[in-house]
Amino acid sequence: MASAVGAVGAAGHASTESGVWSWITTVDHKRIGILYGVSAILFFLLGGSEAFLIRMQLASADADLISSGVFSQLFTMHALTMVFLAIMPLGAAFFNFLIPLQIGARDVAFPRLNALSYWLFLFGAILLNSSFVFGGAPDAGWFAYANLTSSTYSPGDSMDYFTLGLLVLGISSLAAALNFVVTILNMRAPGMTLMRMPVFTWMALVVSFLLVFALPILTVGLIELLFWRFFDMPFFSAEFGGDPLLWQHIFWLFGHPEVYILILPAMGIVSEILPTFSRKPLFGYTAVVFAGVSIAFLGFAVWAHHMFTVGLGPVAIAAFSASTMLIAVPTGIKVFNWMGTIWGGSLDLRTPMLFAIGFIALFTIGGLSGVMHAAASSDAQQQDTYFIVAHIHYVLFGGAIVAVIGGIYYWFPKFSGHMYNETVGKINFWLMFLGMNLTFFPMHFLGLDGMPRRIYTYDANMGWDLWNGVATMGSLVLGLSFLIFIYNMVTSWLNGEPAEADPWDGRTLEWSIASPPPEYNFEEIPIVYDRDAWWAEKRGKVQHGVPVGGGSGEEEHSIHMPQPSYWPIVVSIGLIIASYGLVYNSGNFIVATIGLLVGIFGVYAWSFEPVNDPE
Amino acid sequence: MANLKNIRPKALLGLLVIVLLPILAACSSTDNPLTTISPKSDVARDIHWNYQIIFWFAVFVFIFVETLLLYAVIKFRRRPNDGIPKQVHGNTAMEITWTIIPALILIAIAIPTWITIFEIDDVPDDAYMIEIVGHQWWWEATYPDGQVTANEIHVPSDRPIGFNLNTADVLHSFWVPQLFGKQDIIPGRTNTLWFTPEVEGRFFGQCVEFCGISHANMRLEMIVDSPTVFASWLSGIDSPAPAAVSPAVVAGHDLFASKGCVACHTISGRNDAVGIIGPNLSLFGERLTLASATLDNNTENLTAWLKDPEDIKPGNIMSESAPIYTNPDLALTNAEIVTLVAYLQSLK
Ligand code: HEC
Ligand SMILES: [Cu+2]
Ligand SMILES: [Cu+2]
Repeated sequence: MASAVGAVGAAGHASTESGVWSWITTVDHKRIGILYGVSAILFFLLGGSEAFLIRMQLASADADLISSGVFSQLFTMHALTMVFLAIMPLGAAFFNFLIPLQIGARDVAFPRLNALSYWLFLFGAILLNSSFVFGGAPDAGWFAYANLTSSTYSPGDSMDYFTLGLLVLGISSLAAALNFVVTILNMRAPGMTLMRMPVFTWMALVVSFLLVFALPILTVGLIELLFWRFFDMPFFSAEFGGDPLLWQHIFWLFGHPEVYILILPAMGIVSEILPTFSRKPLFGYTAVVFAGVSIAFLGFAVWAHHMFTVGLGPVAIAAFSASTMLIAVPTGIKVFNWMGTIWGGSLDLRTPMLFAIGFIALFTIGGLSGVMHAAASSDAQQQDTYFIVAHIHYVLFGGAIVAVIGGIYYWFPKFSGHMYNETVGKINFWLMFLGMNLTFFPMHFLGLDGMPRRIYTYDANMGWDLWNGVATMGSLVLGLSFLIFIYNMVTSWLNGEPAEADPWDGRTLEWSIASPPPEYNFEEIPIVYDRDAWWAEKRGKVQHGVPVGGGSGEEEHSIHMPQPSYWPIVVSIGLIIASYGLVYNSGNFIVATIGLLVGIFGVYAWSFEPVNDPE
Repeated sequence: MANLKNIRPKALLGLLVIVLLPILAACSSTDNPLTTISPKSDVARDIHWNYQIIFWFAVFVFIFVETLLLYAVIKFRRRPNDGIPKQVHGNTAMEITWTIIPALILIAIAIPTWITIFEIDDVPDDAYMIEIVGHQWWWEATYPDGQVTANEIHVPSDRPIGFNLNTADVLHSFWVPQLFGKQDIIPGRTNTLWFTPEVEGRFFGQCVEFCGISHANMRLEMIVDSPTVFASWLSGIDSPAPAAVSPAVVAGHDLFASKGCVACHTISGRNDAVGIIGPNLSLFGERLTLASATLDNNTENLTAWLKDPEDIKPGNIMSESAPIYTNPDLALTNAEIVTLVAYLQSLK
């Protein structure tokens, strides 16, 4: 038996260098990174289109473009798509591509697990979105507050798509996070101590730990929701002794760390771009790293700020007000250290740098409005109004997306081996900056004018027309800027000038190897003597002498690379079949069982697959 | 200082945005029905005091950070013969400074916040308590002596008003911003809320917790009356509906029973109309608004509502489950609607 499976497994890594099959079976972290990135951008387009429809409906009072039911699906799916299918996988794309390069490794610790993460993400995303065509997408908000999600108030399959979609995506992220933790802790090049790691990799480590601790919480909640809907186990229904607030606690105990899961990679990206284009090291490296770590810790102690109005009592509310305000301290430390980095530098205002500076300007606004509603009593007038919508978009668009796009420009030469078009890039930035502020700044006014979130229509006498009109106009500009971005990426990837290894006079190890990097990344595993290892080496300014940590640093004579494998995609397909089976379970679990068996067989075959190079 | 001649146009654009934003912050209006910055009660005023302190701190930090950033970008932008700048790695004194100063600002914000949180928490003992029940997608109010009304909630202006908040189905959130901050309504628990009115008048409110398909249409009006007006309004609910006057009203009165409206609606003084699935219609003729404050209460709107409630409030329980709307054979004729409108308008 074992040998039979072994034989099947061995067939699994028949590989070709290019073509679709090579991408399906790839375990190369760079290719997986690109797959993540391209898929996430496509989903970003989808989520953006959903947002655009929402903006069209709200552009004026009493509009009749979209029905209330469809509107609920759109705002629910917009949030789910942006959070789980765009920003998180964009983070994963950067982690995948960059972590091994920045720490001087040849791949991640578990290359096939990495492929599994990607395929589960892709299929989970498709599962979630397929609900649009199979009878309606989730429509109870991305936060899915009980008891609107019960089978009484949400009959039909939409909430089952929500639960199973997020469960699958959760498995994907959890596997990826564990992989990155192990990679970063175990595979750093000789001499790269933790405090010599590039800040981006540091933030990746922090985010991965956050995911490892936060995702299981969501998983517990989702399984309870699933059991409630399938088997009438009343975790969240008050009339049978459950508590709808339990869901809120669970969801936000995951949901607030999730905010940092979305923003810390962006902070890491900015902490790489600013030094490079200022030609100065990051100011206060240690402070920036520890600020990131303490943000992560505090992130688990503030969840109830999403629940200031549910009636927790004044003592709890006062405590969560204080803990939430506390987060502003490490966040402020980061902002001021970035300022310190550009201060006295020689700022090359190229596209990535513009995005990084734009990030600081916009994220500051989101941070300040965050402190404003940390004040619980004042928040009673802002919670669930457009003021909050403004806040999250300054943090997640002005923050996360702007930084990520800056990061894509910054590492584009490394990803693709080509230079992007600088002029188009600058137009991209300015349009995005303008569109972003036009769209989201007026939402502060709308919030103060009392406009609630998640309403599909409003009356002309509410006085919300003007700023809604401006916001919708802004979203047109934003959409245009995003199309320009895509145009720049596609044309540059096809026809851009070839990129040198180190076009920006970079500071970290990824700039020491060719663009794009060869499959094995480093011909010779580098030895690290300093922070900003590559900069130090280029300038011959190795300060600290002896390398620390394992590895011989001797030239390795043969390079062993992991073999391609199709088992990860087989396992993913099995789990997706199982999920569809559960959505349509109507009394029997046959399809779900078949799917699970496929998955189990995949894992079994996978573990018998020879890993070593056949030569 | 940066030589101003060298400032590029895009930097100026940035400057413009940064200078304009605080000015724009004055762009919220105090005339909007749901304005959050024009308090008309003690509680709302406390909240507004808290808000203003934080707002001005935020504006100050905003201007400080953005100006510094803009200045740095302009001053330190690369010039043709720039060398490698000094490789500064950090500065402990500065790290400590920019840890402590923000912390102090936060304490300055936290103290008024805590004061306000405790100040607005406890319902005063002498509050006039009204029971509120949120329904998908309308509001029910029960007064201490048992009178019931819906969607248009009258309160007296001379004492603290308290609410016990419950739901008949899913989560809702009760909010009349000029009078009080929002309070969510959660199945299985009774949240409370209170305020003391400062002026008489009509105040607008809206459900602000997503509660399903017609969440956007779950609005309300709170009317602060002088004590005498309030007392006579309240006793009006108890006194039976006036004797039918015109033939249309009489016909409407009968249709209200024969068309099944009585199964869901209560009208005081009618033994046959005691339904509780829909809003209590006892003083409906006096109401200023209709369908939980989504429409003005006039003949045209009422006719439209009875003709096709689904069009006005998608998914509402009346059009989903009243036989006259679910069974085409039982549909109301235009003539029937005219008499029903006449009858409903006579309920004063
Ligand atoms: C199945 C129960 C049911 C029946 C039968 C029913 N209604 Fe209703 N009615 C409701 C509900 C529920 C609402 C609240 C709808 C909303 O605002 O979401 C309502 C609202 C109303 C309103 C607006 C009330 C307000 O507070 O603004 C009027 C008027 C009304 N119904 C009249 C009638 C008449 C006339 C009939 C008979 C022809 C009728 N209803 C039959 C359930 C019912
Ligand atoms: Cu939060
Ligand atoms: Cu609601």
